[in-house]
Amino acid sequence: MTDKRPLREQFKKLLQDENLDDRGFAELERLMDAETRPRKRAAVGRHSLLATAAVLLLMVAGYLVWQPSFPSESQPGVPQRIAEEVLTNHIHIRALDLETSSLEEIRRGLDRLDFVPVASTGSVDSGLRLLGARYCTLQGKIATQLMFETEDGSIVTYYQTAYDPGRFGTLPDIDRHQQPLVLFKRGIEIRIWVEQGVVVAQARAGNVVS
Amino acid sequence: MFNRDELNKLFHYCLALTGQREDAQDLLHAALESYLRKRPTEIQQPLAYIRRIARNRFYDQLRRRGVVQFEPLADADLLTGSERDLESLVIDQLTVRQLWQQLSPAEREVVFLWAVEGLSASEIALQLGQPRGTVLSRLQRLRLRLARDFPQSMKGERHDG
Repeated sequence: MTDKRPLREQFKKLLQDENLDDRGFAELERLMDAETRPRKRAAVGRHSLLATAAVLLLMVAGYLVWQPSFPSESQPGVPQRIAEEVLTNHIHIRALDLETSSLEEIRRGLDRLDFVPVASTGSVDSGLRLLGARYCTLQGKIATQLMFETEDGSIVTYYQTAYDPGRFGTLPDIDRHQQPLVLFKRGIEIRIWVEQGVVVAQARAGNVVS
Repeated sequence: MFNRDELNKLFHYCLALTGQREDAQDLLHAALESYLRKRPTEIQQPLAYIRRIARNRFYDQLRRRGVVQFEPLADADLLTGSERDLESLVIDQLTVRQLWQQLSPAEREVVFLWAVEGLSASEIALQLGQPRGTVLSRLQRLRLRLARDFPQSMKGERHDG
């Protein structure tokens, strides 16, 4: 299921598999372009004020959208860090360790997990088709990514790991009727909650009516 | 000026320092911007220079945030080993990902120079301006962490290639 290679090679692969995405590369290209064209900078001085104002306005709007809907009892930054990890895994889809539509098979097959994957409330009876799962990590803890497909063919991913309040802080518990944290990042909607003692994070394209 | 491959190499280094993609992109952006503003003409190796800017910036940020990295004193037992002890270890992807998340920035930097750049402990020590013993100690600590936290991964195969 997971291949063994020399330690040095694994570290090298781990790092070299993480490349700049198109957005990051484009930003650096723009930076290089802007800094190497000094004559143009003087000419756009007047327009840059308006552009800066527009950017600030967008940033404020983005910050307001970003606010989690749960009182900040969680450790500062933890939901955002979870969201960042989930976003990366959702965008950079990796091969499944186990292809199956059976959660029971996943529970048996992914035997290195230190928890039992739950049939999460969000995925049950919601028209999602389970495609399989793979091992991953979430904030350093062993986790699993469950991959689902919607009726229109888009991908929804769930991340589950054992809930450790010391590591994750206070997160909304849906077993106690609390609402999940909802965050948006780069067009992806990310929901985070605790269910049956398991941290669950869901990632799907935003603007989806569910 | 710098192509995608060169920028990715810088990104990998920043990722080794910060441990997070977004932070790595921000650090690279800031370091590149700093270099482009100065554009010192005497610099023969701009990529190495930008890496140095990124490194200084990163550790300055840690100091300003009051993040102090305490490391155990170099253990005499650790110093008797060499990086060859690590060369013989064979592990799987999942374990290396978990191990990576446990490392401190200083350890990640050493791992980057050892694994990605292919440097020896002596060469890493020269580049970082640190004693060879410190570098060896950080590398050997990887082996100890694996044995302590992932004992299952150490069973069985050893690589003799």
